[in-house]
Amino acid sequence: MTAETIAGAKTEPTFASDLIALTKPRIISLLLVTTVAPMFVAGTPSWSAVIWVTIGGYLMAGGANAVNMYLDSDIDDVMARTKLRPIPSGRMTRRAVIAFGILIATAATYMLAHFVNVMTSALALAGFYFYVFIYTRWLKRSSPQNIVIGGAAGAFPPLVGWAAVTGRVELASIFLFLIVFYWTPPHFWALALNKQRDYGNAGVPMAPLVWGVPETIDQMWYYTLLLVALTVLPVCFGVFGLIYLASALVLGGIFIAGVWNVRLMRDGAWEKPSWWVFKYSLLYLALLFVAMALDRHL
Amino acid sequence: MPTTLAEILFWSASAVIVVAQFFILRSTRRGMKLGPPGSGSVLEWAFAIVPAICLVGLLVWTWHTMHAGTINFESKVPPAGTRA
Repeated sequence: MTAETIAGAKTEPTFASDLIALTKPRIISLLLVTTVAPMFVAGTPSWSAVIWVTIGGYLMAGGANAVNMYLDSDIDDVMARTKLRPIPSGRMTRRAVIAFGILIATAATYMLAHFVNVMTSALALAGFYFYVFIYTRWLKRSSPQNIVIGGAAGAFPPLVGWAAVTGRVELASIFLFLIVFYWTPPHFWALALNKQRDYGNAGVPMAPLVWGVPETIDQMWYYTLLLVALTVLPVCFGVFGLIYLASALVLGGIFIAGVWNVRLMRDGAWEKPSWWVFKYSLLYLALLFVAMALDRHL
Repeated sequence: MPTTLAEILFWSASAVIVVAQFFILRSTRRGMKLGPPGSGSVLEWAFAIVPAICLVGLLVWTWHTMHAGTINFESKVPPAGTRA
């Protein structure tokens, strides 16, 4: 939620809207799709399990996002797309933000362990720590491959959803983890290509700034090919059938065509096609996971 | 799914994965040369190579699972998944 109303007019953010903004709700909505859909791939979960995992997953990811805003408040201040967040705009103190983040992550840990199972809680907490310490604290400001390895943080939700139903981590759930892991580089680099000035001002060594635009676009291309190939492998050992296979090939084909379009423009007008890839990659992941769940139950 | 089709899918996807991973490593090396001094550190190499090694392990595990027949394609929802 931002300071803008649906009509687009500016309004003063309230304390409640700031608390919600700290959790980055728009990002979490996709994380929840990649959490809940695997529950329906793993089996037939009860509605109470789905509700507890959704609430717990939101609070855990929201807590991680709030702690991220605490740790990144210095660079949020110099980036156009983040300078209106509660800390850089002076509406909340850093101490209040980290307290809120830790509080809701702690609540999520208890909730998932008590109402779902300990494995689910442990995996969600591992995702929290990975995002806060490995990605935000260490890699984000030190390596152009920050989002390659850091992408693992966003790949924990499928493991969480799967474990909520089975209590285990299995081969199929590792594939779902890897699908999100290998989806992250083309998704994030498509954004980074368009926000280079912001990242440059903040001193974040995103790949386009360190390796250059052509090399980054090449990497997006290879990661996308690898991703689409990876998505068909679960069909080979019987987890998914033809509905999923057809969806993976069609959605993946569009993704490949989009990145190819960026590659054609690698020496010039790549802004528009890369922005299209960024937007489409969000839809791609959501639809792919919905197709997984549908395939198992239709 | 007929075994032959599963085999074709597996080997086609594996070939794409191996080739794409090779080009990712090659591109990462090129990127390190273009980057500032120190960007070709051992750690940067590890960030590129560790996922590649994990992928090879995953392909071997997948192949074994396919041939062990531990998952039956016809059973849409395995019994292990109904414990929530």
